[in-house]
Amino acid sequence: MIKTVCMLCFQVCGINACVKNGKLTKVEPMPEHPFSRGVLCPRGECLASYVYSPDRILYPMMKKNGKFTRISWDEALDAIANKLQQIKKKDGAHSVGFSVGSIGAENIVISAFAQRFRGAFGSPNYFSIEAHCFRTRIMARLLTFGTYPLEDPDNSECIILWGHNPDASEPPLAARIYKALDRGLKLIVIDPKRIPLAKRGKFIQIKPGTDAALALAMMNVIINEGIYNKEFVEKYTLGFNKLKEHVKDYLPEKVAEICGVSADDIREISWIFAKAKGASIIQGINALDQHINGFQNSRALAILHAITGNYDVPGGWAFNPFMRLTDLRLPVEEEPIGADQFPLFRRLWNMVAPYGQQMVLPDVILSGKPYPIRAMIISGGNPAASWPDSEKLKKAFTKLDMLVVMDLFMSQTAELAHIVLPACSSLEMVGLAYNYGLTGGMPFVMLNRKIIEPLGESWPDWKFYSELGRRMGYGEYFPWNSDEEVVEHLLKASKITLKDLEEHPEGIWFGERCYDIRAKNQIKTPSGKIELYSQTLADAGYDPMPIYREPTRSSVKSPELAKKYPLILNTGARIQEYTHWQMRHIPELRKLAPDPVAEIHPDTASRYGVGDADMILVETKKGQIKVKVKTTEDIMPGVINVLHGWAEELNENVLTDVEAQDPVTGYPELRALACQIRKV
Amino acid sequence: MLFALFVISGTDMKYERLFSPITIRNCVFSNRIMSTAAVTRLAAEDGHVTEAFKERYKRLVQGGLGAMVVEAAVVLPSKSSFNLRVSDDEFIPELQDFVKEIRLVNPDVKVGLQLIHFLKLSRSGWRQKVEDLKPEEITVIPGQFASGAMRAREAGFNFVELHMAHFTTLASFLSLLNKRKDEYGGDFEGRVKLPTEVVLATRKALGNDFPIGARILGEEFTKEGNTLLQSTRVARRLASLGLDYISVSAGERFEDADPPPPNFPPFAGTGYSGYRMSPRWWNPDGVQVYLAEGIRKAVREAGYEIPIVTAGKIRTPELAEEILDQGRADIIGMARALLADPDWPLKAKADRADDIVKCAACGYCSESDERYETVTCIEWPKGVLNPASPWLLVPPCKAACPAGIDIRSYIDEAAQGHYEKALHVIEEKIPFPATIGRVCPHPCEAKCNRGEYDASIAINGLKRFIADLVAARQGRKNVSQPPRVHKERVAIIGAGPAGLTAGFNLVQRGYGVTVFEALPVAGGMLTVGIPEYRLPRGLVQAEIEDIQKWGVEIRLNSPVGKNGLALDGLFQQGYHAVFIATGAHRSITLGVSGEDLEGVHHGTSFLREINLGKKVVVGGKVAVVGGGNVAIDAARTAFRCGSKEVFIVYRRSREEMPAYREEVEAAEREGIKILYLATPSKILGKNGQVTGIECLRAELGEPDESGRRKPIPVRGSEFVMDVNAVILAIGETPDLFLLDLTKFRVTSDEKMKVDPLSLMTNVPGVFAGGDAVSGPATVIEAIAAGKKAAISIDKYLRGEKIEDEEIAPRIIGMEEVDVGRFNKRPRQTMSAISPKDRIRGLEEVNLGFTELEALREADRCFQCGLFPNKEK
Repeated sequence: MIKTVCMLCFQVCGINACVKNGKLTKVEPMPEHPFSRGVLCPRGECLASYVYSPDRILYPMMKKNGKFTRISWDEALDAIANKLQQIKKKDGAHSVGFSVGSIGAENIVISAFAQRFRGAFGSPNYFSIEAHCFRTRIMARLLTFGTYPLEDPDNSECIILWGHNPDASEPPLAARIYKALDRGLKLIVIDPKRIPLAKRGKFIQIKPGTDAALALAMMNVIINEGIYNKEFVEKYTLGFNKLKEHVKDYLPEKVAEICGVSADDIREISWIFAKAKGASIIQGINALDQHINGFQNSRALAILHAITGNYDVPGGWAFNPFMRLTDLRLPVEEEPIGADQFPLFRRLWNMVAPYGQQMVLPDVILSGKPYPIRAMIISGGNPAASWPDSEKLKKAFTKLDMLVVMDLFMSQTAELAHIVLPACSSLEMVGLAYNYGLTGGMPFVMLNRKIIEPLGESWPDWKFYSELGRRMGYGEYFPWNSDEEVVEHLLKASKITLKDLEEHPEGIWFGERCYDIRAKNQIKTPSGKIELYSQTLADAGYDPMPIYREPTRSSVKSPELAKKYPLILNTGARIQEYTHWQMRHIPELRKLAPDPVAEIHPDTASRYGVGDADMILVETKKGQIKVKVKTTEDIMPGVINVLHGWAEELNENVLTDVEAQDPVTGYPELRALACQIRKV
Repeated sequence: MLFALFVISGTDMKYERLFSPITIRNCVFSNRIMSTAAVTRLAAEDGHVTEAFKERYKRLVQGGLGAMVVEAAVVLPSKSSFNLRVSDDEFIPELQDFVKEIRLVNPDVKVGLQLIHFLKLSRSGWRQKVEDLKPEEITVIPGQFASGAMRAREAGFNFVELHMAHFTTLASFLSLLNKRKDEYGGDFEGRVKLPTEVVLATRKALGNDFPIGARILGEEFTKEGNTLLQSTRVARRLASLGLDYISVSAGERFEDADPPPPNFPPFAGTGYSGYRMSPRWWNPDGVQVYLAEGIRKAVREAGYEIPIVTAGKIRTPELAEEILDQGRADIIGMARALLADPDWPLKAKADRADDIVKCAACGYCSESDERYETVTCIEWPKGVLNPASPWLLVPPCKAACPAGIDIRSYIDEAAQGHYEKALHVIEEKIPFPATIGRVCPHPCEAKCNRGEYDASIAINGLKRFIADLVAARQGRKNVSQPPRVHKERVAIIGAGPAGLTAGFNLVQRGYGVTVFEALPVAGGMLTVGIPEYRLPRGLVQAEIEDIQKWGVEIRLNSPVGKNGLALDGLFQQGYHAVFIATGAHRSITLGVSGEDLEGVHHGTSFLREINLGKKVVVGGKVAVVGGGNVAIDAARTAFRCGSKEVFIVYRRSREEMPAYREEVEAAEREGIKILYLATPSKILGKNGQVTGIECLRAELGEPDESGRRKPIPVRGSEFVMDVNAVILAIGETPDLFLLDLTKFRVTSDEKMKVDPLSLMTNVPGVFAGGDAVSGPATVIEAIAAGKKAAISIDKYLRGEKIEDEEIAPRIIGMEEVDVGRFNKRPRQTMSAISPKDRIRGLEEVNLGFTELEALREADRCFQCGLFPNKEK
């Protein structure tokens, strides 16, 4: 039995892997793991089926006459190298793009080597999942507090789950909340759907897309009823009077109508939140971000924390040290695409994001403007399924001279590729599990140990980029020859060595959670104060304080559209069985969740004459998909909830587009869309 | 902090496992809390016991822990400043005194001494290593431990603990880092050789009936050091040698210490390994438990049952209980948690975990050790070792409450949304919180300082909200019976608020209790006196069921006295004390003609009949005589029973009316007319049936003995009202027919006479309280009497003297409140169902606060005394 981690999603839970004769036989949760604490979702339990799936890509393949044929790594690398050189010579290095998906953001080796290679090659066009996932809250909190504080659920007296259903998407967090409920945690759930945890707390069923209005009304109550943390506000914040004036109009009665909740409920949750000693709002991974108003949603939550003093205190949002790892990036002068449209997304004060805004990428490829993108190398991601407006993206990808996809499975993106490369799973390589600090608020690191030998000819990403780099004359940048050397190098910037980690398979605490940032005078905003009013935002031409804006396709904003598409569509809801589009081919999991479903209130369903298990067409002005009806009283009437990540012909992203984007971050609007349904 | 209080209520078994005893070789630890050895630096420089040293440990054992391991005592002659020593016989007498003094403070605690042999260390940074020890230096070590252990036994310690953890000699031998090439190093057998010799020598010296434990490392947390894998082997070996417990620590190795300043030795409490020994605030609670669990598992698998102690940032009784419950360890070790709050065990036992001053895991204590200073805790100023006594300063609300509820605390908890905690505070003093929250006359609110500012806090409404909300969220509490500690049984006569409160408190004190109730329902006036629209019957019954779940036996339809059991017979039936709480249910008669007519009812019996579900027919037009709550209740009830017109006839004016103002107003809103200054002089009738009532107008004269102005009827002012029924509600008096009045003393107005301090009647062992003694009074006063009786009966049965312990508190005045902190805000008002809907049925009229209203209301509280006026 080997102690290691499950890297199937960003949580990276501790597991005990049973290996017999070099073969992984069974995966069990690791009870002592400080983050997952013995919780493991069905995906983790099915790791063996995942790794040994007959669908694994086991060798490099090249598409010849529309069919993939096996080639050797040498052939693949030569082909890629030649093409890249050719494009660089003709159109410049910037005409090659690199993209990593969500697993690439979590598995440092994938993103670090993609970035290293593009640096050596000289292209600014590196894209990360963060262009439409998670970074919004980091930016909003940075702009407010000067740091990126994290929730502290174990110490919280009150938690607001805002558009977040951890039972489906973060089981370890859910387990912690259930435990905390037993000790008297006050839980408030704000969601269009009565998620399982909503039954254990105060539930506010909110109309999709109106979150900022609710947050502003809460500020109104907290300020007007004098229950804000006066001492904290006076001492540490900037712009309180402006904020007071700003939220004056967001009266609970007025906002109640916008959000479809009661004014007294707004008052009540404001009081509960403001009065709790140590309160954390835990927002959904993306539920609040993928909106026209997404950035301001996150800003509003940050301000709620600031005015109630729930910053830098146990149970509130508190600073957590991140692990310092060696920066493998090489400088590239040129700006990536999307940087000019979304300047703050690219550059905040002295911090520069390494990626461009990929939401503009399909248009750039299709139009060839400002310059042609001729090739893409994609690993750890499946944009053709998970980016909005997948039809357009697929069209763009087919226009490329070369598309290289490195993956474990034949994803929808891989199917479009010219060359497909076999990636090994995290169980087949040595790596780092270090992101507990970034998402779980725990300064803890573990070694992702190599449990089994790589299957077939699969490689870890670093090896592919290193071999490609050497082949293209960038050998000096790629001196590593083994997983261990790579990890050793990454760890150089920390105080921990690979040996430490090997000696501590149970993991190591590398730092301390900090509740005295303010005392240390480390509010690193330009003003040195917590900025309720942000001059940075004002200077960049954005709203310096959060404003509520109707979703682009809401019936209020677009009454004409609402005539044809009267229902509200939410996409993106997760279930425990799958990570995005992945793992649907694992029979054990597929049995648990066999069909793509749309959740719908029985009243709404009966209005359209449909019932459970009926097939319906969900249609937006962009496209339509066929899904199975699942009626539930838990969802707000008039709202359709299409589960995330069903690929094939059923991809929800057929329904989405990037016409409406958050002006600050460029995140697409994927929630609160207008749709209609039809029985088929 | 009121220490006595924790002791009193120490029968709560919330942390059952934590407070269950455990036997270590013939030595019984009364609970599973062990203070692990931690240096205090309070010993003298030469290792002798000092007064400060004694004081520290005496304070520690006051808190009620099961076992205490006194800090490491040095067994070798090498110098080591400020470390306790047991290296010579000269230390025995003072250690003897020390143990004696500890026993005086806490006779139950088992005291052990940790024995240490360390490798030498100099200030220059030089450090001895196991490899440096010559064979002749090694061979004396087992003997040094054995002699130290014998001295400990002679000094009176109950057990010894061999220190094999951290940076000690034995730990260093056990470590994979032990690079000795001879028989004391190398493979496992070599590394374990010296510790084995030490155990065997100590056992041989002490014989077979003295417990010996050991402290080992679960993991060293250093490079190449021992991990759980090695530790489990060590533990199994130690178990096989007959050790009596294994205490599992972790880390604190010099090998990993932070680089020291020049000319300073390294401090093992630093570095990753050092921080793992005393996990800091960034580590999760109980971060070390898995080590004990692993060791326990290995030892159990090898067939040894010896207890395993776990330690390391276990700060809450919940966690401690959980660890024991899940079988991860057998004993909970604590050092810093008890330094922060020595009363941790007492508070946990009394279910006052929230009062525990929680170790912040800040490292302050460890750092004082590092600086060679006395080890102290940063949490102390919070009130443990230097207890302030603000509890003698009492907010006016608490002073006004007959039951002495800590109102300020529960409102503070409620203001933060801690409703459960708030309920705990209330239930500390009274059962029936939801009932009291409806019917209490809340004298507290009249005294509230905020009343002088804008309006008093709606204290009772908050109480009701708290009780209702907790009940609604969690269902009725899952209570388990407290253990029966005493063989005596107490009989209580009357299942009203006084009787049930006494029963509740006596059961908690470990007595058997039977309550005899004459009526077919329990609750007394709560059930048969107060109408349902003010106090829903189901609610009272649910709260009574809780009391029954606590172990109070209630026998219904069991009158005592002339119609039932003889009072004397109770003692023969095996009851050791009796509490009479029969209330005051007999209506006073008016003394005018016509009282025996058909259609004349008495207030209490009228209400009782209705409340017992009987159909009582009153006429279309009813006169109610009286001005108290019973009169108002009767009038409003008559309305609800179908009367078209209801009058209240009261002989004084509105001002003197004893009924609650809000009740009077509610009655008026419902359409009841009140005739003031009218004295009934005759009840008129025809064919034995009431037809009218004749009254005289009255004027108010001089105040009488009740302090109210006496009504004087005006001659010739007679007037007659036609009515179909008259309800007389001019007062109630106890019905004392159960008593043999030749034996009991009663007052001239037929109330029971008792000693005001003890509530004992002139018959030994028979106590009385509530309305039976005071005449009709409030529910809260009855509850206060019930509680007082329980305390007295407990003392009586235990043969203790009953003394008045109350210290007159000083009440916090308005001038002491910093009102500048508070904005004027209106008092929240409860919503009620509309008067029109009211008279249709018996549904509860007042709807109670919503959570929002409650939060707003609780937030208005001045928290008198906690935010003193700085100008004062």
